Amino acid sequence: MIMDCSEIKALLSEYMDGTLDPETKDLVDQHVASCAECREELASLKALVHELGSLEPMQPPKDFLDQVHERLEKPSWFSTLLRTLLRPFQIKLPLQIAGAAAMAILVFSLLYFQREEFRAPGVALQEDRQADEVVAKKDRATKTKARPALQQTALKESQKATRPIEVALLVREALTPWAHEPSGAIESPMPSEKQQPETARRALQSAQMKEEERSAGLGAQDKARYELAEKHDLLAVLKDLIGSVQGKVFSVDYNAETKQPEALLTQIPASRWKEFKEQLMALGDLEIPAEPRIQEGQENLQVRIRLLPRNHGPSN
Amino acid sequence: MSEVFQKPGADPEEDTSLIKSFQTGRKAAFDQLVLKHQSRIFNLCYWYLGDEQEANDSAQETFVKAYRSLRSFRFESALSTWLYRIAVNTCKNKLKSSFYRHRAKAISIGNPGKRGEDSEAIDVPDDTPSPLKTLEKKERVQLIKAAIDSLPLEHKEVVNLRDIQGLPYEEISQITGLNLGTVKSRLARARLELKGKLKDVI
Repeated sequence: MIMDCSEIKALLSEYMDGTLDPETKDLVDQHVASCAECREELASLKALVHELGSLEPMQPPKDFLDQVHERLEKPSWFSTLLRTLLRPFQIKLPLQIAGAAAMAILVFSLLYFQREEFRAPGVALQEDRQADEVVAKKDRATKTKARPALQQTALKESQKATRPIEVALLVREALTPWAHEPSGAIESPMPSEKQQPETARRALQSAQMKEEERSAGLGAQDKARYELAEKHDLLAVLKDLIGSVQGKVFSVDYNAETKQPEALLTQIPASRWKEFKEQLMALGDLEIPAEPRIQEGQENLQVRIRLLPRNHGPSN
Repeated sequence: MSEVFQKPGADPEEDTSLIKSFQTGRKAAFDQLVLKHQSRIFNLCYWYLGDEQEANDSAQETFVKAYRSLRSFRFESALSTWLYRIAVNTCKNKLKSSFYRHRAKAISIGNPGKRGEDSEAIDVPDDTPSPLKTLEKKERVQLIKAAIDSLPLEHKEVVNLRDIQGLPYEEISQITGLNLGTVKSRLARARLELKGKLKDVI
């Protein structure tokens, strides 16, 4: 079989690599021996392949293995993504720092919510004690224990938000015209039909004409006793007053023994506090241990009004 | 004749015992395998990608992939063949990635004559008595590299595996998945093309 140069050239690559079958190899041998062009072609191919085969092998960096290890330790892209997404939850802090941070948050939140108390603790506590003493003299044993459960709950809930402002109202005798009557005369928890309109009228009158009433003195009657009828009417007056400034009465504390109201927990719109205070003053002497600090944006004040007899010395 | 171009192959028996050792939990055996094969794999990647950093990246990826599959290696081929196959696929994927193509284009613009059609520039007219033949070795290597880089991938692949890595046809067939006839004819065409590009160098 005779081949032309182009066919031979196509076989030279394999011929050179020694992979031709013996028959084809012989044919190429014969052709190359007689064809200078193909001989030259084979020589240049050999030179090329030799050149390529003797290229200096490229060496990997010295720390190639370390780099492979680094990659092996590197998490897959999925876990990297997952970790990136969850990073905010994975911030690791030493336990002590975490504890300190938690404590700081707790303290600051307490300070924030109970600012009033923390800013003037002395005044508030002192006044509390005074008020407590005053009441304790009257009914030491039963002051707080016997509050109806419901009222206590209400009180607790209202105290959660802010501690109420404590005010003491020394009720004007003008509101207790029958104070000198024998206490035994009025035992029923409700005022008699006869007395109520009269008392209410007087109470409201006094609220409107405070100065006049105050100057009226009426100091002669120093046996100030809380009579049930009177107290109930005072309560009605207070409730009216609170309603008039769009306030609310949360609870009324009664003395368990005498069944007389002795304190009101109320909520008064902060904007009308001054007005409310003035109206309270019309009912008697008002003791305010510390003028409430009204925060900007604060809508309501919680006010606990203690009702005290004018002469709260030993009454019996 | 082909022996002349064969590079010293990996010792398959040593590979086998190292793999078995790895499969029974001795992690250090993998390190030995890396050290043994890293040069060949790196070199293959370099001539595939034409860039040392990219070659390093692909070679490392090759071993990372190998590490993750070595536990289930079933000795159906030599380890070196298997590693080459992983490396070839890794390099091909890299070349296919749009990022790499974009980068290659930028390089080609930056260095005209190194890649693609511009590499025709190395075909300097032979008007002096073969001055290129006396070029410094380094320069020769640069020219050869530029010529190889400019080959189409399928030609570059067989030239790389056969003439640079010195692998036998059968192994090239196993690595590339091409049948033996295709490997032979493709190599013949690739060599002719490269010879044409380097006629003034060699």
